[in-house]
Amino acid sequence: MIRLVLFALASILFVAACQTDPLPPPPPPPPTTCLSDEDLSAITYAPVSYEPAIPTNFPPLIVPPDNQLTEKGVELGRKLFYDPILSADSTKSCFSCHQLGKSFTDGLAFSPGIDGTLGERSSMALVNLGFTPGPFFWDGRTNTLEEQALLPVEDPVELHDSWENVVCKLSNHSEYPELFREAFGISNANEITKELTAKALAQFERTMISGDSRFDKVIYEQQGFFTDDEWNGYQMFFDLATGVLPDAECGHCHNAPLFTTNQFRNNGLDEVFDLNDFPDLGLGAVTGNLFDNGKFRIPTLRNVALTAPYMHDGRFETLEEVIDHYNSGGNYADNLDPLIYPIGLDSTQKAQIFAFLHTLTDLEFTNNVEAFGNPF
Amino acid sequence: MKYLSLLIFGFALISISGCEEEKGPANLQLVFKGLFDGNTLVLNEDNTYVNGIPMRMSHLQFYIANIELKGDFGTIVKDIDVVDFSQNHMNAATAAQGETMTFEDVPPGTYTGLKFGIGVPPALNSMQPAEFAVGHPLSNTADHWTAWNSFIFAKVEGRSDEDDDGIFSGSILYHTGGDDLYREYENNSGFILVEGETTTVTLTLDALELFYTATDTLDIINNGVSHTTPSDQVSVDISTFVMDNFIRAINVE
Repeated sequence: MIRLVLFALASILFVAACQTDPLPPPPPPPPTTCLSDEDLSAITYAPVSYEPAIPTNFPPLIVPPDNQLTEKGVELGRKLFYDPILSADSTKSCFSCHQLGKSFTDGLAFSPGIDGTLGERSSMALVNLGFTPGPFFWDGRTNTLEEQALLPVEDPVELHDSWENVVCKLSNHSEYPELFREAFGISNANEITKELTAKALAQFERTMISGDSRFDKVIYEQQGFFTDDEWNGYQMFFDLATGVLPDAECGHCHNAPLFTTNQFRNNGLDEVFDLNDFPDLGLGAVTGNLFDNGKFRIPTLRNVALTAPYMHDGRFETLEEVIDHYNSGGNYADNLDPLIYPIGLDSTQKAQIFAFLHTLTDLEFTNNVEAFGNPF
Repeated sequence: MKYLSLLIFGFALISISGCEEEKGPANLQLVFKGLFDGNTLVLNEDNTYVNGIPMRMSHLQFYIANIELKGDFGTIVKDIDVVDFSQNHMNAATAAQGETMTFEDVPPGTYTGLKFGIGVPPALNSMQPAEFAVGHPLSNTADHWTAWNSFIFAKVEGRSDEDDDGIFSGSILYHTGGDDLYREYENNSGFILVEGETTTVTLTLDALELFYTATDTLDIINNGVSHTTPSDQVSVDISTFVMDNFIRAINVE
């Protein structure tokens, strides 16, 4: 009897083993982590608020409640900004495309990533971003500075790494765990995240405040004078001398004190008769709204003399070309901004606008290596 | 035993009152629906101007101030805000919803109408965007014009197609501002706010009516752009015309 039962069991097992159903996929491998588990709790965490010097004529700094500026947070952000640890092959950092002397641009139409591949848009000046309610980037693809700081690391034409890898590198670094502890109060190196990294970068970016140009000194501080050409350029820029000088229509999109209105406009770079035909859809690719196609963020004109080439694609090498473009009335599209039309400036007046734009250069900012320079 | 009865009676009273329906405050929804010549306004869609010229509105916004609910115990529910038609009027699907402002915790009662300013009252207009907290309607430098030292009370923007060739090559841009252009709108259309309920009052703004009166029509071809430049009387006149027309263009639905 026992043999009969054993035979029956063996037969069942045999039949089951011979079924042709596909094997279930192997279970996912257990999560591997390269995060260090270094205990940081013995390191002092005593955050001290960082109070940037804000020009009195500027709007309030926009700081999210969960990322208040601290001295250690800004210090960490600055270090990360300049550290090629954020790139896959440790050759490039934020600094590669955002250099202090060029008002945190790089002088190129398109910047090469770590693989040598060129990006599709010119790097934007990182100036007064803390006063920008967003959205950010030329196309407005992120709403906050913290979100903005997340993207370049994984962009294949920029730093081309993965956040998982970057966080592992930071977690195992000889200094960063302590710096993250001091900035954010984490108690273990395995608590370093991409979000904290982005927060630190955003803190540093919010300290990049430029408001000490000759324009500021003359207009807001009543120190010194414009030259005649600068004065006439100023009058035309803001339409202050109607009947005497033409309205150059600049100030509407580049209003003081930030010299941007943080809006997105089609400024007539490309002539299209079908809004789908823009070579770069810009904001439209983000919103999906046809009438947003070909619109780009209005950049600040602070330090504009240092940020060539110009426009989202760096098509204009010089400020003279930019002025000529606006003077011409730009190119037609159905969503061409109504402020873009032939201005009629003569050569003297264009030179005066050029002279005024140079008064927006803030060398106190671009030479401030102590606050913004490479800490390495 | 006597005290026990009192205790039970007290609990019963509390229980009964606790079962009564709790009513919250009254809420008011003020909806602005954009129109163009009586039809729902959809920004960037083709329309026809008074003289038959094809035109498109691309942007329309204005400041609204001291929003007062008129009545025996009238109350101001908001000192300043912006009505921006680019929120819902960018496409036909949402344009009919209008732009909504909600005022919560308003005293319930019967009101005899609405009153509000169009533009920024002088006391606020003398201030700078930097003096307002982030998110405040007056904190946006895009809505302040340094040249006038004034907020931009209204932005009316679009394009025109003078020769009807399908190319809307003409600019339309009227930006108004300056203390003299502050206007007040008022109606006598009563409404009732009930405790715990939300009442909707809908106003329409017909954009085309900003451009003409019974006797005058703005020349959108030759005077399509005005920034209310103080030293330019034509510009000031155009902006005055537009601001005056706001009063007529706004109606109760």
